Amino acid sequence: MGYLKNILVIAIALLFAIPAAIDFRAMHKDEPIAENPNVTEIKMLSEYCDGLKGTDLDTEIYVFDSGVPGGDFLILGGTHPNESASPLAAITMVENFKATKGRVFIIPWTNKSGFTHTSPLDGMQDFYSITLSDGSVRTFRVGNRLTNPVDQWPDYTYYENVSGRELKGTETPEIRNVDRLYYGNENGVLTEQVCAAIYNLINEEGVDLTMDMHEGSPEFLYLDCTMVNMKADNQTAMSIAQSMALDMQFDDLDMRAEYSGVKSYGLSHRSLGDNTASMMTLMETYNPSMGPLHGKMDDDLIINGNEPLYYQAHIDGYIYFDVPEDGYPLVERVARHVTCVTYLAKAFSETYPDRAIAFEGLGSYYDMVDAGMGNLLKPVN
Amino acid sequence: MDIELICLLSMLAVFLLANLLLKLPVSVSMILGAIVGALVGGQGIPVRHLFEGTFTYVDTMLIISTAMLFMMVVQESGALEALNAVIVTRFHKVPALMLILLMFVIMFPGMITGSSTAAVLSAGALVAPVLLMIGIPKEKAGAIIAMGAIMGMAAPPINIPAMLIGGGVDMPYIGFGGPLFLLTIPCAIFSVLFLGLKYCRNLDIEKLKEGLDTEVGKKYGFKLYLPIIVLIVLLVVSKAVPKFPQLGTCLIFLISAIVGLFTGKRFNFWKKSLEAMETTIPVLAKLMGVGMFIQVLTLVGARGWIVVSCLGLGMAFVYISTFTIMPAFGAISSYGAASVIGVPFLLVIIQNTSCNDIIVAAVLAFTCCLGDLMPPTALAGNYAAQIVGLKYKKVFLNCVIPFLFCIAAAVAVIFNTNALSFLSA
Repeated sequence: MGYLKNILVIAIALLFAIPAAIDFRAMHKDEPIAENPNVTEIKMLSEYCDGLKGTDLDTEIYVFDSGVPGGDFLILGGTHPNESASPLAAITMVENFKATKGRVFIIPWTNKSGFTHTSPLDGMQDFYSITLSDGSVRTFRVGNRLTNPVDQWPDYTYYENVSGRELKGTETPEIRNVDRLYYGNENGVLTEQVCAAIYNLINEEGVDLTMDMHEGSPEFLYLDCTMVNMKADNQTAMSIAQSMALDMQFDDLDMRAEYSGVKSYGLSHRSLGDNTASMMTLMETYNPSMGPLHGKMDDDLIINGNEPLYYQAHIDGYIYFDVPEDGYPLVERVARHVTCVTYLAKAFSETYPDRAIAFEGLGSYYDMVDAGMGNLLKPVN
Repeated sequence: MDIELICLLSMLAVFLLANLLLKLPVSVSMILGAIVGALVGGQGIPVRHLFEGTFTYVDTMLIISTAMLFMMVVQESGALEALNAVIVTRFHKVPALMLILLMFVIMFPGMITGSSTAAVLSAGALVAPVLLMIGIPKEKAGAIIAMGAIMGMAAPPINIPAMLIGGGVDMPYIGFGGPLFLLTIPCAIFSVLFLGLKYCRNLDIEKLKEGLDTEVGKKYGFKLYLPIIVLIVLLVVSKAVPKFPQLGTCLIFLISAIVGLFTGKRFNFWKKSLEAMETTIPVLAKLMGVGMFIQVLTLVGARGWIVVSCLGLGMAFVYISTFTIMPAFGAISSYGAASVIGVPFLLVIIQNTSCNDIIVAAVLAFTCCLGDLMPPTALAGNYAAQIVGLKYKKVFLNCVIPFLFCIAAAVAVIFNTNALSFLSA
């Protein structure tokens, strides 16, 4: 009788565990990216750090080589997979870009392991879907800002990364955050090897300009803002970033440029900027689904970015960011990232004509918003 | 009425119905509340979310399980009995110190397991006869055990409500030791002295010795305490020397427990381990239920709704509720108070003030722990009353003044978090 009871309990547990396992396993499958004949090569990040080969953190690098001499631009999407506009902007660029001067490297899933799980207790979506103009539906993962513990566990109670950032206290889980472990260590934890691979990529390919695309919850103070590394030639770097911000403001888009924090060690814009020759930038857009005060979690919140609770908190004076009453749709956030990247390349090319970078394919911010995500993304088989 | 509020009320109603009327365990009631909340919120039965919430606290559950094994070894080896005997025979001439040390013994199992039930059933059961022998009345002795168990549950290194609240806002359980010691040690000392000191004048040590097991200490000597010493040394070293090899709390408990197998009385480790785990399963199940409950609360938007609504009502409401509604919620479950109220309240306070967030979380967790005194559930209280052979009502009335002292201490700390921020460093 005792055994029967035990078997019954296990059977009930399996009744829940099996469908849940199927759901979680589905997140390990990459969303397909539509073919673009202008992609000249697809490399793997492990080509720049052997330790990543065969792991869930190895990821694709889409290379656009114009064949025309110029500079090199690295665009990082999905450093934090839950910041949906970031990987989606990278995928949109991969499917539409054509380089016309220099080379462009795009990584859509920078922390690929982070796409395989969600953040416990945050009630996050695992997927969201976008209907394309031809009626087909494409589905994208949301993921977690940290590496899946299945790939890297446990979190040490103390860790000092190569740039001198001490991960302790409330920061200990950040040992699974790509954007805390730059400039990386080939012999470090797996997440740190991703950073090392990006560091090696920048050095080996001679990358001139890097953009790390992010989103923040409404509480975050650096939304619609681009961080720029402060180093010896910081005046030039800042003038390029300010030129980009000015161009965006001419388009009626809020944007400001700020220097990296003095103690932002381990963050891409700070530590890659300090330790490579690349001009490092990082941009943030608003994403209400990431905040702890979000309302009902569903596709609508991710795609339309309409969050009445945050709007109320803003009206009550508790949220600094100007939360739009009608939401901040995903297409606007994607278009903002693409526009920022475009204007940054333009300003960089004007400053360094011999290292000019140029690409085409997505038009202006307003072209993209008018088209909608359903037209920006291409159908896939 | 907002849909988020409807979801919240549905979840609470189903939880209360299942727990109080159908007499289902807290864990199962929380699971039912979560499932109904998801259905009302239009999420169907979100298996992935239910599963994800359930396993959120798997690290905590491992720690509690290994801590229970350690506690069982310390108890079965005779170390706790020997400690009682040493405290009474050495310190009977300084009754205040003796009472304080006995209080620490009551607290100890709660400190390392995070469970007031574990404290009452292990050390509480061993110290209760000593308190009665000293001449402390049953209702006061029961109150001392109940308060000691709750202070142990709240004291570091393991405070489960703090883990629950921290987990809900992505805050690791690190830096809580200082603030929790500040809250629990003075309150424990006040409680035991207030309740017991006046009965400890002119103790007859010879009479007391008759009721103590002084032989086990003599037989095994100092080595009896080795598992406790190993535990303390490893916990302190891993904290104080960051570059010391990271053993992890679970491994430290297991190493200390293994040491205890060779330092005192022999016992059937397998059988006693099973018994210890059987008493732990309900606590682990509660953690799983709480994780599921918060996950759904967030999924349907009720967590955000609570915070934004509280922000609209002003901070005075939040503070008053923290020290009234939160401990009262313990009548159902102190873990439930941590998840349902503690998490959103911490978010409100963090959003609205420049307080030290770790200390605020520690105060909220401490206040949640006091809920274990609240009838009808009153885990610590009911078990303590059983041990001294009384109905809980008499014990509860004797806990009122210490309870109010604890609330006053919590109020004092929450309004001085910045001055005390060095404690969370």
